[in-house]
Amino acid sequence: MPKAAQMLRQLAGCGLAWAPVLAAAALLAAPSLSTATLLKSTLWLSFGIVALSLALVWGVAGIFSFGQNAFFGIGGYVFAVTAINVFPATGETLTAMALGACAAAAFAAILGYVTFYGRVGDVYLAIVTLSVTLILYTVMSSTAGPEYHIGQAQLGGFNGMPSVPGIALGSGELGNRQTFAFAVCLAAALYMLLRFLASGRYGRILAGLRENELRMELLGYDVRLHKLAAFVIGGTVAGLGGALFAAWGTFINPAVFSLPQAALVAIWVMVGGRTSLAGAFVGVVVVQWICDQADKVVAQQTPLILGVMLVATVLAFPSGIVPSLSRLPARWRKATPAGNDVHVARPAGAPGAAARGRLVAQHLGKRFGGSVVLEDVSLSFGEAGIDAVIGPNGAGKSTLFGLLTGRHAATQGRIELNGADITRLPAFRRARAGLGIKLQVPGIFLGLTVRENIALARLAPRAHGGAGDASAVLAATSLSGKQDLPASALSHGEQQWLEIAMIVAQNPSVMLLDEPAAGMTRDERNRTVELIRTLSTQRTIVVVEHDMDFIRALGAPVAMLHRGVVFRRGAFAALSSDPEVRDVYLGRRRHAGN
Amino acid sequence: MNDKDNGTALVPAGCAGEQVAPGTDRREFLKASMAVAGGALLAGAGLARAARSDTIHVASMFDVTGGLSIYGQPEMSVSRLAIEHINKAGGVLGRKLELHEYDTQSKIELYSRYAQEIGANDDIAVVVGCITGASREAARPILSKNGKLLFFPSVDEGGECDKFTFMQGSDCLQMESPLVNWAMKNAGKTFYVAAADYVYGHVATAWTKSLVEKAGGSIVGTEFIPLDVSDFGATIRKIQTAKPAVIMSNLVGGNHMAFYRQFAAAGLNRSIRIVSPSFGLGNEQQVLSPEETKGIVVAYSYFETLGNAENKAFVAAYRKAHPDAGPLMDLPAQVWNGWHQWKAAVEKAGTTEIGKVVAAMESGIPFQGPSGRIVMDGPSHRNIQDINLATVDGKRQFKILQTFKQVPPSRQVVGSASCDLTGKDKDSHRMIMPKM
Amino acid sequence: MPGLDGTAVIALSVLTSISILLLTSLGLAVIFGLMRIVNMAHGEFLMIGAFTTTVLVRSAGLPVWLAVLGAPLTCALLGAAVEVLFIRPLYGRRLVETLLATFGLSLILYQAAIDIFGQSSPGIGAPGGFVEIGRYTVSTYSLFLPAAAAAIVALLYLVFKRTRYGLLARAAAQNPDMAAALGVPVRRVNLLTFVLGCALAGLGGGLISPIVAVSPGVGQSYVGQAFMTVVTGGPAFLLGTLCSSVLLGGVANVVSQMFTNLWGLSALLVVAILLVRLLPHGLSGGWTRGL
Repeated sequence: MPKAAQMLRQLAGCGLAWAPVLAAAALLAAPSLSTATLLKSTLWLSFGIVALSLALVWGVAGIFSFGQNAFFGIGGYVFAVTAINVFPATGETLTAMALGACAAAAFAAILGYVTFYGRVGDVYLAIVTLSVTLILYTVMSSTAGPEYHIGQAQLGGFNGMPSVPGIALGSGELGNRQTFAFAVCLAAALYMLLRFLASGRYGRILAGLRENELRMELLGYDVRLHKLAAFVIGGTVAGLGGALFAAWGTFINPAVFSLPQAALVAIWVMVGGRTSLAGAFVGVVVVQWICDQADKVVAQQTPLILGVMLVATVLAFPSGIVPSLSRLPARWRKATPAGNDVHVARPAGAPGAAARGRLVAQHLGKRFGGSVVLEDVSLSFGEAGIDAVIGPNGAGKSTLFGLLTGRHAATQGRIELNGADITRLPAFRRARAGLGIKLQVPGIFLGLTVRENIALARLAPRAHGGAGDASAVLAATSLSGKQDLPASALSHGEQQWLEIAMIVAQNPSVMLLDEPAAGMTRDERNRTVELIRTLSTQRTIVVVEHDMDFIRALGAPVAMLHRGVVFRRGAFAALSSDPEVRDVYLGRRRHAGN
Repeated sequence: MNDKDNGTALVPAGCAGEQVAPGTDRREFLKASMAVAGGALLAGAGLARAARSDTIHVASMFDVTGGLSIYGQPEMSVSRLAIEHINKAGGVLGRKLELHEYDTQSKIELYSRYAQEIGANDDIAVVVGCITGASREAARPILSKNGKLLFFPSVDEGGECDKFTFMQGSDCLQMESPLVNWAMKNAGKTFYVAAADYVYGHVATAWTKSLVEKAGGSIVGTEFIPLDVSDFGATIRKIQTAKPAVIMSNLVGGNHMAFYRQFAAAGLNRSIRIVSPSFGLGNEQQVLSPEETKGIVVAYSYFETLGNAENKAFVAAYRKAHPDAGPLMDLPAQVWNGWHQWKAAVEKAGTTEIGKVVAAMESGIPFQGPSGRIVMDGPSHRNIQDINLATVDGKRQFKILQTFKQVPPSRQVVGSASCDLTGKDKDSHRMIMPKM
Repeated sequence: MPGLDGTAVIALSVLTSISILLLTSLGLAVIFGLMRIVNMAHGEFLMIGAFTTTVLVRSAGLPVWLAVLGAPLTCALLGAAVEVLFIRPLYGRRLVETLLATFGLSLILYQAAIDIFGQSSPGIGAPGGFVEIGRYTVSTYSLFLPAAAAAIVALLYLVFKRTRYGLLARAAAQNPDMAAALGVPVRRVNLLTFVLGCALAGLGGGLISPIVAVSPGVGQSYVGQAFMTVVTGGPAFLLGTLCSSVLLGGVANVVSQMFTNLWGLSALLVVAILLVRLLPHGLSGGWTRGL
């Protein structure tokens, strides 16, 4: 019994409990609702489902897509075509609904593949999805000719397709009330499914994508694949919404692909609160209700009202209704730390300590356009626990780092990690192979807590061994006591440490650190030196720095780059007394490099 | 074409309960009484049944807002005006009419939604509404499945074959036949067809082709233009290459108005005559300048400038209610006709019961309206009506050129079957798709 | 087949299509290229420019040539107000939020235009008559459009290359933090850039007003193509947009000439999609930084 109660509490915790309650209430109320209310509610549920899909794609995964109503429309069209052909024979339209969802999913997969694998960025994605939606509008509008038909279904161009069968389960079409009941069940099921996805491991990955895509990639997540997956799930859900819409109206036409409709979906989600899945439905109800009501007060001004609502939300109320409301109880709940399913500390002596790895660069070269930035650089890391790479500005440090991490592709040469060729691997595959990467700018998830940040790192797929033990890093720094704070509340130095802890949690055999001490106080820097020394007993660490005191304190062998070639190698003391090195750093002309 | 509507013959179930469509188990999971109780509980949906004996509820659905409001606003105004007029004259069967106005906001899904609401409302006897073919096809199947009568006031492409629907506007044949004949006589025998790329455009073009060929002319070019194109450079060059004497313009919508503008700018309006069955419906003659539109020839049943007494009274009443409104075109006049033809039919039938009203309509009661005499042609559910040829003068007005008396509608759907709603298709509730 | 005069007419028609695309895209390109703001109200600024010109011709009796210049002025004033009220509070927020705010604005402006002008109001015809080229006649105004577009591009190039504002704007676009640190008045530069973009949209709208039917929805039919032009143009907002206009407008018109308008429209879309896939950074993505 306590177990059941706990389960219930857990369900309530992730918002799964009240969805069935609401759905049941709606079903109970159905017999006493008027036809007008039933019709309106069913329509709003179909809108709510497409808004829900955008809340997942945008609010949870951080991909702003104008394409949700493209998937909605495709779902609707495929439903219509299939239902018109199949319904007379089978008396059901669920197959059509499934096909509609599949078609939307397939289209989302293609569109997502092109954009995510083509690395189309943030705003461009919005414009590309919008353009594709408008293209569908144009294409579907030009199918008026009698030659455009699929089986019995005439596409009808701008006029659209009339007489689409409604929802039917095998014995004829459902009435208004049954259709409403069906819509309630569908919406509740989809909501719970997405809610379940978003609160589990997968949800954490999506949150990571939203907060810091680059870090996710450096942690070893295949960012493109995960974005694609979220996009396809969103597309499927939107497709189901579209099928419900076509069944509800017994009608579909290209207006579903129009610009106002595309924007409406964004408005619903924005008003309801994009970070909340429930907000999608709240947004639809609030926006549509206000439009209906306002029409009675000032007739014929719907666009104006929508516009004002959208501008006001963006300017004054950007988080939307539901997140603002749910922030209240969150404040009360604060006493009990959330997220206890994430265990950062692991028992002492557990496996997870990696063997020191070996990173070798052979004759690496890189040219950008006509200029050679790096030439014939051969370096091998792994013999001494720590290696340092230094050089004045423009020496090629960043480029070398970029080549090692996979940000740039080498024009020549070869990179090996523990004997395997990784020259052509994308960043996330290198990470999986055991390369931990810390960039100059702290690459953490500002919106997530310290605990969640580390959990994401531990969950990252890797080709070798178990997760690493980040607790030592936390213990060595001031982070142990701050595990439930959002990362954005940490000091700059603490954020750097958190990133190091995340990389350790991944258990890499080689760690590449780019300016780990940047922006740190003297005290923080000293602790960082200690931390790196401790970590180097188990891993190979490569530090790229230009802070000479830091390098000196590390006491590691140094490779100095200058003008794209390895200028000197040796102990720091030896280099610092080398007059030519000093000339380079002081910018004097007298040197032997050329 | 549509098996669903085909197979669903409707038997009006009288006024006691809901209309039940055989073959479907709609609403069987709820007792009608529960629905009535629920409806009565919620304000807005149920109308007081006590008032039923002395009022007849009727409805109009038009796009009063949004992109199509240019058509919808005058239509809704005339709808109101007609109901007022009928009520002032004593109502129908001694009962007052009460108009339910539905603003469909230029959104197709609202046609669907309101049609379902009307369908579920036992009180509403008839609907005069819908503007585009798309909106009609969204609403009609639902209305007719629920046993509601629909009067559609727009010009249309034909193909409608529904026992419960009456088409008020002129069809392609009624408009294009006078246009083609006039052009052959007055402009030349070579035609270039520029048509909007949607169902109406395709069907209208098919009619143009068959009419021109029958009359001994020739088509020197045909082009379908997507509704969102407004750069007509390529089209105009092609027209200059084809050198037609006449352009048959089946273009519609705001973007396509640019065609007339660019056509005139290139100086083509000096040598080539434009005739059109669609020009003017969107107030093209107001938007474009007089120089650009002068000489374009159109054909409609109704023009504001018609001199008959009924029209003078109609225009005066409309202008009194809406002093600032734009010119009255064919669509609102057909709304007026629709309400009055229905009134005549109900009075002949002595009831609002749909089967009897349809039979009375099909018997062909003549009505003298603003557009002259009209008589319903039973088999096609379309009006036999006068068609006026008019040209745009230099002051943005239409000048009547010629009147064709009592032009019969087409019972034929282009390239496809015919429709006979008093004979073989008396149980039909479908749309026959034309074939080109 | 078309003969010499036919070929000339086709070439002129292609030029006109290209310049229409360019004129309706430039304002969007400037704002997006320099501020990374997707101005969803771009179409409404086109519409306002078109209405301004129409009203100046019809009510104030100005000649078209002069009235066209009123369009950028109105839009500049409106743009300044919009920047201060709606855009400025959103700097530093996610790009999507400015996109949504400007979309809200576009709805407001659209409805305001309906309330003021109605759905159909009288327009103005193209001035200048027509010229004869062999067997063909061509509208003089359609010959003027490419010239106007070329002049505007040249002027913009000079503004961004030669003026202090141009230098500051480009600096602020490349690295706002650095520019601010160097003492560039980023706020004022952003205001100017937004105003310039709106004025260009207005000018575009004013210039096309004599060849289209001016209605509150007129801008919306150009927005989709303008977006595609700017995206395929890439980071060099001026010359990149010029190139993509030439490519997209050229392809659309040539295909329309050879086949039908539908094919022309489809060809434009297909080329745009292919470009986005093949050159995700746009036509000018590989160029060393330019305008």
